[in-house]
Amino acid sequence: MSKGVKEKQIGALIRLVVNAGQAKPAPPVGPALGQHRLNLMAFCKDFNARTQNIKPEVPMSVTVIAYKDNTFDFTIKSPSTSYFLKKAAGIQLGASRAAHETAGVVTVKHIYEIAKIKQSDPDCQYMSLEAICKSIMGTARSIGIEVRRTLD
Amino acid sequence: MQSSWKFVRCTSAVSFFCSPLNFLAVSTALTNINAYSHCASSTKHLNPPLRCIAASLHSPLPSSNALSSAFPGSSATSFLANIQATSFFLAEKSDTLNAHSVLSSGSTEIEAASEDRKQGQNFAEERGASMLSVRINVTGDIADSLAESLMCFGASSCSIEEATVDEFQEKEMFSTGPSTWEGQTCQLWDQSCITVLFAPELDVGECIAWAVDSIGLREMPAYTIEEADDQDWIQKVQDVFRPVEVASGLWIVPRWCVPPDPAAINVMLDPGLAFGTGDHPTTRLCLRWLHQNIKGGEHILDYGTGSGILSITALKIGARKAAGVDIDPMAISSAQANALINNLDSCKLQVFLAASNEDNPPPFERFKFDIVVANILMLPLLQLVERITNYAKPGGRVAVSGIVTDQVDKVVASYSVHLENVHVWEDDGWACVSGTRKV
Repeated sequence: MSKGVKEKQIGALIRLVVNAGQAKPAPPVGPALGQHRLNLMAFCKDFNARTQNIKPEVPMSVTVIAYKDNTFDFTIKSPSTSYFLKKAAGIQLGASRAAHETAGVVTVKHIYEIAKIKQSDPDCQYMSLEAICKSIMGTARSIGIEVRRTLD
Repeated sequence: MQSSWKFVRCTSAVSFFCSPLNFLAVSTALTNINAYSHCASSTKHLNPPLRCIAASLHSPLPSSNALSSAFPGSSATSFLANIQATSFFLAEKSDTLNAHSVLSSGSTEIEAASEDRKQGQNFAEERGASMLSVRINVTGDIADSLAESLMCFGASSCSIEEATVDEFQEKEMFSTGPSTWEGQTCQLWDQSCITVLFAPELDVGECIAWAVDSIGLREMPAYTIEEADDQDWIQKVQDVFRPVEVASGLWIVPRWCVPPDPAAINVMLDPGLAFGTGDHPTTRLCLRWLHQNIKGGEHILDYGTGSGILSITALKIGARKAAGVDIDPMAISSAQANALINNLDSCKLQVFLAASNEDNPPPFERFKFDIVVANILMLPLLQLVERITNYAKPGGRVAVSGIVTDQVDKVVASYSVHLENVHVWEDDGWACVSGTRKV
């Protein structure tokens, strides 16, 4: 599809979280995208097809650019670091007082694995693996998850 | 549904790398989708209150507080270096198909009996509380960070737009935005307005306060809260739907529109919120395939019927009988209603509600249908390959779609075991795989 001389005018930038493979024309997708007259069916079908290789119910961050002519583009990003950390630690909620109590434990191996997934994220592509690991450890600290070398 | 965990020794590092790369391909895929510009039509169709549909389809809010734990809360020893962190993230074949299930509870059989139209339009039960919509006015430079922060603190979605629509001063400024799409830097307006949607039970003020605080804003921006009107966005979704000619002499027309070509075969459709309006490439592929393959008098199975568009079109083209299956009760009502709109009674089209797991398959005999068409998604197609192909009689024709071109190879490999003369059709990045059931 040619864009012509003028770049397409952006109408809105929409962020939402949709479970992989489960986009439907209902909340949260419906109101968020329907408001901008975007073709919901096309988005749902496209998003579901493209997240088929991810486990269902993993929440994916989606950013949609809606253009003024009601067309749109979207990018799918991996879930948040805190989601991965909580899964790895086997907990549901982070600590309510992060600096003072520990909600769960992960090993450095978990951090490494999470960093490998995050490395493929467009935002992190220019960071070294070590830098990503440090950032993940920071997030772990902020939600009260302790990082140890091994679990004994 | 819990899937089985595969514990892999850390020495197989290569396999770890393959999985994130797969994901890379997925996550950086961009799509260009042509939607339809809103035509200022004055004919508003009289639809039953569709807002109840939205409430009944309310899927659980995927907030960070409500994630179901993937790992059983078992002993810490099970986490020794055997953990493959990607295993809980990437789908494996043993996963059950939960993709679309919202309300289906076990397998029930609903036949499109002689219900009157009102029943067919009765989509859902009571209406729940609607979501809250908050509009916050901020400057462009912090709009994106605030939106991201609001998402972390529990918002369902954030939408950044221009705060004031001033035709003369609207300009596209290329600023160093937070990310790039297709090589162009994203621009944010001087005065932005963020529309945030929250689930009804959240404390909006608290979430906003935390978000504002976390990005370092010293003062709280002005915001207004109102109840999001479900009818509003549903109406807008409906407005996108227009008549479309899928093949020469075959039109799919919204129920409230006049067919542009009265002499052609016109399938009138009111999909509600079910899948299948005729404008998606996969629907087009399947409809064209049906157009080519129906000679008259066939018995058709439409697996994943959605709005019923494929079955109803097949009946109008000349098939004798059709059966539709779906896991979404919404689709069942929609298909029944659409059959009635097209003057097809329950003898012609029967619809069945199937469970979203693999138990209790619909009560069809095997080897019964002349034509089987399934426009769903790759995972269910792979999991149900035997069931779908077994429903076709030997020599019967089968077509499956709902897959993107990258997924074609897997589907072809799986279906070639049961089908011969396998052919792949493509349209705009989507594909349809067809074949004949082996004798």
